[in-house]
Order: sequence, then structure tokens, then C-alpha cells
Amino acid sequence: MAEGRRHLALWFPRLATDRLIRRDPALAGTSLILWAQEGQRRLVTAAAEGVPVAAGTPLADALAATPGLLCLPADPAADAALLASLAAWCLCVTPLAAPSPPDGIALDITGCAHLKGGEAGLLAWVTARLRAAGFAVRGAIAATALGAAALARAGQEGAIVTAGEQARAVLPLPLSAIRPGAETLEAAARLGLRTVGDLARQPRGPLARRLGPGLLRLLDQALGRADAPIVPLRPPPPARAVIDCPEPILTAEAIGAGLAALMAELCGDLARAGLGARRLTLACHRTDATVQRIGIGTGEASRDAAHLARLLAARIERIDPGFGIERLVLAAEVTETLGARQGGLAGSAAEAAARREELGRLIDRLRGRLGPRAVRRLDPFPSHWPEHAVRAADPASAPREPPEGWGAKPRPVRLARRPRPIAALSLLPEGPPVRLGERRVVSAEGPERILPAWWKPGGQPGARDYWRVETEDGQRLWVFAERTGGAPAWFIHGWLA
Amino acid sequence: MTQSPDDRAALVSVLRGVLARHQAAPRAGVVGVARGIDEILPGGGLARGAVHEVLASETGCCTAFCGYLLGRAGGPAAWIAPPRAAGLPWPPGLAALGLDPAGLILLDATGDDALWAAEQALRSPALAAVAAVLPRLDLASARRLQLAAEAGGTLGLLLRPEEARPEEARPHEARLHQDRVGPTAARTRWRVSSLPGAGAAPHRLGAARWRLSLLLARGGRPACWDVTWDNGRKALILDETGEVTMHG
Repeated sequence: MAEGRRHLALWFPRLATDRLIRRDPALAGTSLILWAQEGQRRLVTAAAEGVPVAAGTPLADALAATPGLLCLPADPAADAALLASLAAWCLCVTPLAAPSPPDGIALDITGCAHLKGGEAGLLAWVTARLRAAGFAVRGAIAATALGAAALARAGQEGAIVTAGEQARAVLPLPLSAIRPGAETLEAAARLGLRTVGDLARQPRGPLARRLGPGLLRLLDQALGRADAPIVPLRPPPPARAVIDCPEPILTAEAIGAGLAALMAELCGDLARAGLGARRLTLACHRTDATVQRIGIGTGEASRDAAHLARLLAARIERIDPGFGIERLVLAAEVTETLGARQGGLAGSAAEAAARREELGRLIDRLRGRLGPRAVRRLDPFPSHWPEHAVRAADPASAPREPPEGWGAKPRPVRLARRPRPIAALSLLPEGPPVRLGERRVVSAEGPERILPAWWKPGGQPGARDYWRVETEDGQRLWVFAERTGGAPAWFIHGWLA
Repeated sequence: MTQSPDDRAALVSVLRGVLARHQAAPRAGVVGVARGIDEILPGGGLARGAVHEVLASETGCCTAFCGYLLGRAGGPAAWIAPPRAAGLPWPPGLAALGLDPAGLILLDATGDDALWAAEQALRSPALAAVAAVLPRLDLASARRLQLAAEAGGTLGLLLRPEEARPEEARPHEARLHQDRVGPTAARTRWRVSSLPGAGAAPHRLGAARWRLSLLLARGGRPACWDVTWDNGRKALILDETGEVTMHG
């Protein structure tokens, strides 16, 4: 077991009804119950505060026993989504947070508690925020995640126990607090085991045979004898920086100022670690327990604070501050090694690297304003069909080697976005054009016949006979005749050198 | 004032720094156009760290000439054009003129975005050359681009449309004194027009031939040449006759 870890568990006793009441405040104070279809029966799954209906009661019985109930269908998926977003908000106190379905959150707060004035202060801060946002919540802190969860569900409100005290605090709790599953719970009840302590007093060998080894594992975790590390919502980023605002901030200017300070700190950390950021996220934790995020990606790893701040600043307007933002977290989600920059001689590898980095920054800036698709490179592609001889690529990616024979045939220096139809005249059925529109053709070279990719499914265009022509006014054009039976249709497809 | 050996060492290091800055600062110098033309151009070629105008009257040879110059600049280049332009600069054809497809970045931008992108690209030392299609360009913006090019040491080519020319003017005739584009901040202004191909016949197009008209050159004089593209040697070859006399 990891020495000295501390876990905070949160339990939301009325998560499902709180969700609906938050969405529609008119439901507050009504006798709201939620139900779900279970086979042939409709069972109550949750009831609002003060409604004397237990979960698991058939809906018909509940309606008969308690008049004036307001019944709504349950939505487990929305509950799970809400739990995940609450866990994301909890990332403001620790980078290691995980939802523990159906109605709990586990936080690894090792080394984080001093930020809110100790464990008691942290617990009070988190629960007060969540209550203000409209959730009923109970919390507890213990050495292991399951121990804390058991205390939050069944123990004293706001319990904080050390590793040494944990076993004594958990032993009197009912067995359901460690959530062994309904069947195991029933089997244990038949044996007369009702509390965690009853279980702990039994010899382990027979217990494992009767109730399964999983229960022993739960027991060890609850008592602090074994630890199961929580699987965090998202892995902690390689580098991050945090600002707590003394007053909730609302304006884009204030966010920008905070961003600049965060960026300087983050880039300092990245420089010390020899890393550069490829993707950055700015998370704004709002006072109503929700999170707004903006993010950017860069073409080249970078730790140039001014450059990265400029890229992010362009998106600040997308943040909705709501009633105020109280915490800004800037995280480098994806990083790459980036060696220390070193000035070098002209033409040296260091100078080439600096220039490549500068090109990456330029591309990022251009993409930020023009859009990612407006900045591209056309890479050679092995296809005989003229339009497919290149493929748009990210200019920051490694260039592709031209395939064998690519660009060997005479091709136009400028290609029409799509072939332009033109009225043309040719004297022979498969001969060169002698007139293109109003203009006489003075010389024509060809034809070069290009067949479509007949082996591919779908409607294919006809074969094309390409001619390179010069008109009487001096234009050199790439034209083709498309033959799909009957008279050929002529098109201008490009301009030659 | 006497100098101790220590001071001399400090002075040497300061001077070394100055020297290094001078060597590193702009990738000074010029981009050669062709043998025989460079001798006439002020500085011996198209100056880097400056913008040059190319009057885009004929699509094919203008694109080819600009692509050729971008390739000669040696290094990454950007081409800024409106997304609805007549056609796309086409790497398979430009590669034959010496422009590496791996070093060409295409930017779709128009209006203010295009001006902004051109300024950003010119100011960046990462690019060797930038070609931009800018239909409307006032003098102040042109000066801004010139300053950006100086800061980045980048060769800038501005492709500008030419005002309608008189009906009788043939494209083969460079009309040197009827300049209809207006004042400029550019270092030089060119017009490229196509000539009948070298060795052309009804069934042979022949090698590309252009008339290059240098309409304006700051610190130089206007001139006019006929050139042929030699695909074997990958070079522009000036005609034997040399400079073409100007027709008023």
C-alpha cells in the first residue's frame, strides 16, 4: 500500500433528483420521485428530499401509499454525465479525480490539502461549493478511497480519519457502506454479518470460500490494509500552472492577464524539463461548479510564452464566464522533447532548427486567423489522374518524397479548380482543336490519353485526350476532349508555362 | 587612453558580436533571374528583403515566372491567393521550373486577410520568398509590406492585375511608358508576356519563351528581354540578341 496517501470521497445521496431540480427550479419542494422499468415492473429509483419512498419500491405501491407524488422517468446516462462533469470540476483541487458510479466521486488529495488550509478546510470548501450549486453532498477523508467512500456514505458527516484511526472508524459501519453488491450483501445477512466489524472478526479462509475473495479485497481496502489507486478522469498533464483568483473574474482582459502569468510559469517549467507543448488547454473553473475549456494545438513543439499566449488569446472570447471564474488552470496536455535553444553559426544544424521552429510559429499564426484548411502544402501523390497528382497536407508535417516518374510529363503550372467547358472546333474526329472559343489555335501538341480509374466503384468520368495548345493571342493552355460517346466535350484544364 | 589587455579582450568580443549580427541579420543579397539580366539589375539581381511587382496579365507565364523565382530563392516559400482564384499553383508543373513541392505553402486568403497574411509571411525569417495575389493595394499597405520584407529578409512578389490596356495593344509588345498600375513602393516592376515557342510548328509547341519587361527599377533603368526556358539545363536563357529595344 502506498504510504501516506490521502483520499477524499464525495457522496451525492440525491444526485438524480438534484439534477432535475437544478434544471427546473419549479420542481424544488415537490414530492418528486423517479422510476425506471425493470422487466415487467416499474420501480422507484430515487426520491427527492423528505419524500418517504424507498428506492426499489414498485411505483404502483408508492403511488398508493403516498398521495401527491410527482413521477418522472429516470435517466441514468444523464446522471453519469453529470457525475463526470462534477468530477471534472473537482480537478480544481487535485489533478487526480475519478467518478465512482453511480453517485460518488473519489479524489486523491495527497499533498493538495494545504492549498485550502488543511484537510478540514479543503473538505468544507468542496462541500460548501457543491451545496451552493444545488447538490446534497456528504464527504469524508481517509487513507484509502474505499474507506473514505464508506465513511461518506454511512459515517459521521465530515469525518476525517488518519490511517491509524481508519479501521476503528469503519468497523461499526453497516456492511452496505463498502458496497459489496446486492447478492453478497444478502448472503452475508443470512450468515448474520451486518457490519464491517462482523465481517472482520470472521476467519478469512472460510469467508473467502463462502462469500468470494472479492469481499475480502473490499474489506482490506475499507480498513486501510490495502489500497486500490483511483483511475483518474484524465491523466495528470505533464505540466500545468494554476491561478486562484481572489475575486471571481468576469472580463476577457482579466482572463488575458491571468493567461499571460500562467503561460510564463508553464513555459518556465517546460524549459526546465526540456519539453515543448504541442497542445494546451486553459480550463476556467466557474463559481457554479462547471468548467469552460479552450484549447490550441501547435504544429511544432514550442515553449515560446508570447507565441503560445497569442494563439490562446484569440479564443478567450469563446469563454462564457457566467457568474465569475475563480480558478484558471493552464495545462500542456501533449508535450514533446525540445532541446535547449542554442545560437549557432550560419548554416549549422542549430540555425536550421531555429528556422524550422520559426516556420512552425508562422504556420500556427496563419492557421489561427485563416483557418486550418486555408494553410496547406500540396504533396506529390502517385496517381495518373491529373486532379489527384497532389494531396493537401499539413505544412508542418514531414514532406513526402515524390514517387517515381512524378512530374516527368509536361504539366500546367496552374490548374483550374475544375475544368472549364469551352466551345471548340476540331477538323478530325480525334484530332487537335483548331479553334477554342473565339481564338484560333496556332499549334497543338498531343494527344496524351488519360483513362479514369475504371477499377474503382462509382460513376467515373470518360477518357480524356489532353492537348497542349497555343492560341493566336499567345496563351499556352492545357485542354482536353472528353469522349463519352457522340461529340467530344472540350474543357480548359490549366495554364502552361 | 591606454588599454589594458583585459579591455582589449572585451573590445574584441564586442566587435565579434557586431560582426556576427551583421552576418546573421538579413540573408542579404539577391536572387538571380538569368545570366545577362542580372548584370543590368541594380545590385546584380532581385533584391531580397524587398517587394517586387509582377503585372499578372497572362496567367500561364506569370505563374511560371513567379514559381521560377520562388524556386531560385532557395528555401520555403508561400503563395497567397484568393480561394476563388482562377486556378491553383500546380506543383507538378512548377516542379519542372525548379520549385520543390515540399517547400511551397499555399494560403487561401483574400482582402484584409490576404494583406495580413502577406505581412506575416514577409516578416518571418523562416520563409525565403512569398508570392501574393493582391488585387487592391494602396500605397500605405504597399509600404507596410516593403518594411515587413526588409525585417524578414524575404523576397516578396506581388502579383497585381493590370488595368485594361488599349484595344490595339498586342500582348507581345511591352508598353513601357504606359504604366497603368499607379505609384508603387516596390523595388522593381515586371511584366511577363508570352512569345511563340522556340521551334514551334503546328504540331509542336516548342520551349516556353517569354518577354520580360522591367518597367520600373529603383536605382536602375527600364529594360526588356526575350528569354527561353531550357528544360534540360533548368535555366532561363537570354536570346542572343540580348536586350530588346524599347518601343515607345
